[in-house]
Amino acid sequence: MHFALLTKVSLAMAASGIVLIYLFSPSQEQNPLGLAGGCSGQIAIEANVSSVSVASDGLIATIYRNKSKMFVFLKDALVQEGDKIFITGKASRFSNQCWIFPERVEQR
Amino acid sequence: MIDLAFCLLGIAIGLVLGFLPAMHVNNFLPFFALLSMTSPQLFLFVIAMSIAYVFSSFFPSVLLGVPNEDTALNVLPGHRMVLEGNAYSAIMISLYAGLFVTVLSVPFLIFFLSALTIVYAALQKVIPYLLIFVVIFMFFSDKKSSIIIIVLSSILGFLTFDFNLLLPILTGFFGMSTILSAYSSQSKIPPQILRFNSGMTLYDLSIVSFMSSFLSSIFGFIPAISSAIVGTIGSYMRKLNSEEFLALLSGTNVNYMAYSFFALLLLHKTRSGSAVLLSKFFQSESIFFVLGIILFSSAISFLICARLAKPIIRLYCRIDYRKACLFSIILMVSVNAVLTGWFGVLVLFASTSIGLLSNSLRVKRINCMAALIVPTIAVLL
Repeated sequence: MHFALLTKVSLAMAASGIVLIYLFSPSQEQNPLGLAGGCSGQIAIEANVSSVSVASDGLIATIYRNKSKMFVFLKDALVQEGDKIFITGKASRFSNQCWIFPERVEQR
Repeated sequence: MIDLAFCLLGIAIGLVLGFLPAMHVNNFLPFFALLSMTSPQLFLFVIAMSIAYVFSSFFPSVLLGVPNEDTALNVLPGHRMVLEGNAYSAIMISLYAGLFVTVLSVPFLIFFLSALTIVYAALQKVIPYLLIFVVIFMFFSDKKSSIIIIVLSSILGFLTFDFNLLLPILTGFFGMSTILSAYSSQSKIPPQILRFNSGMTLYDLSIVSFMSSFLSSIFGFIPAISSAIVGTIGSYMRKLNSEEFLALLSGTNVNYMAYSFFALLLLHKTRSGSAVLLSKFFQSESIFFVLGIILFSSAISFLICARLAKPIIRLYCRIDYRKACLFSIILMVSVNAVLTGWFGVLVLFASTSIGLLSNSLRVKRINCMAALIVPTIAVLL
């Protein structure tokens, strides 16, 4: 087996990997997602619903704000995937994810 | 490019975890989730760690659990090569296969981008029937007594299905039973030839790597089908010698890990512990960003593992092999006790017993995978 050849292949792979990482690296202006990340307090945002799942006592809508994933717990409101909604409420972090507990949800 | 440091850190941790027996990268993922990282940093870290882990885990899987000559009839191809003094060749073939399938992941990704969602949608309807076919195939490709292992494993799978106890189940079937057999049979590593001593050519490796990538692109997206099953199916497609079979298994292991990240981005399906973690933080990462991490971490892991192969084999030859096996057994029980509690240890005991029974019946241990496949069929039908 040609070890020298395979070493060259792996070096070429490493170089192309770095190029891909550099070219397709997402924006660096994102908030940390760990426990120290900022996701708290009163918020008012407009966003498109990217998906909806059924929870035991309501619906959970997934939205994105500044490319950050957030979950909206909708106790009463009914939304569908693709809806544009305006939410006011409180945001806080559970299990490393940002949750919004809305006080008011409006369809736009 | 500071984020590349997360990639290098991931590679370093993945390599260390893989070199140690009984350590699985999945066991440590919850701790890493607590670190404050941006989503791209977490992707760089977790994917690099997972890929590096697969490469370095070839060392304990080849060098530990080697049976003695009397019980070597039903051994894994890597262990057979160790008994022949070719541990270095076995490890290098595994590493080469890992490198080759990573190169092949580029053209396969182009296929996935154009057709995976359509193919998967069609495949999803036939998954339960495909799994039934796999169980029947496992039975008919082995001795009649393999039905005992299939039935016992299925019962264990049903009993533990709701408890997320994959760790003790798989550790018992494939890790603990192998190492216990080696420990009780007074095995030791024979003198090793520390040079590449194999007739396998680059052409053979390319063919086997393509087979591995092709089969992984079908079975890698189906739940409960392990890389060992893919290896067995591959051995019916083409007559494979020990070295080619080892390359097929190793390449499939790397493919399974890499494709689990493709499945996350393209299908939003999780096929590995690392993908489950990333699914919670997934935002809008590009598939080419993920491909870049896979290429970079595979290349670096290959170079480091190839460099360390000889010193690590020398180390294994020098240490007291029975003590190393005993250390691994203690580590496995401890890790399972800490992470899954007393019930997990009980399941570990049961799965180890089934693994040992398959050894004494001299049937293939992949029959134990019925523990995952049969309950999955029941859920899907």
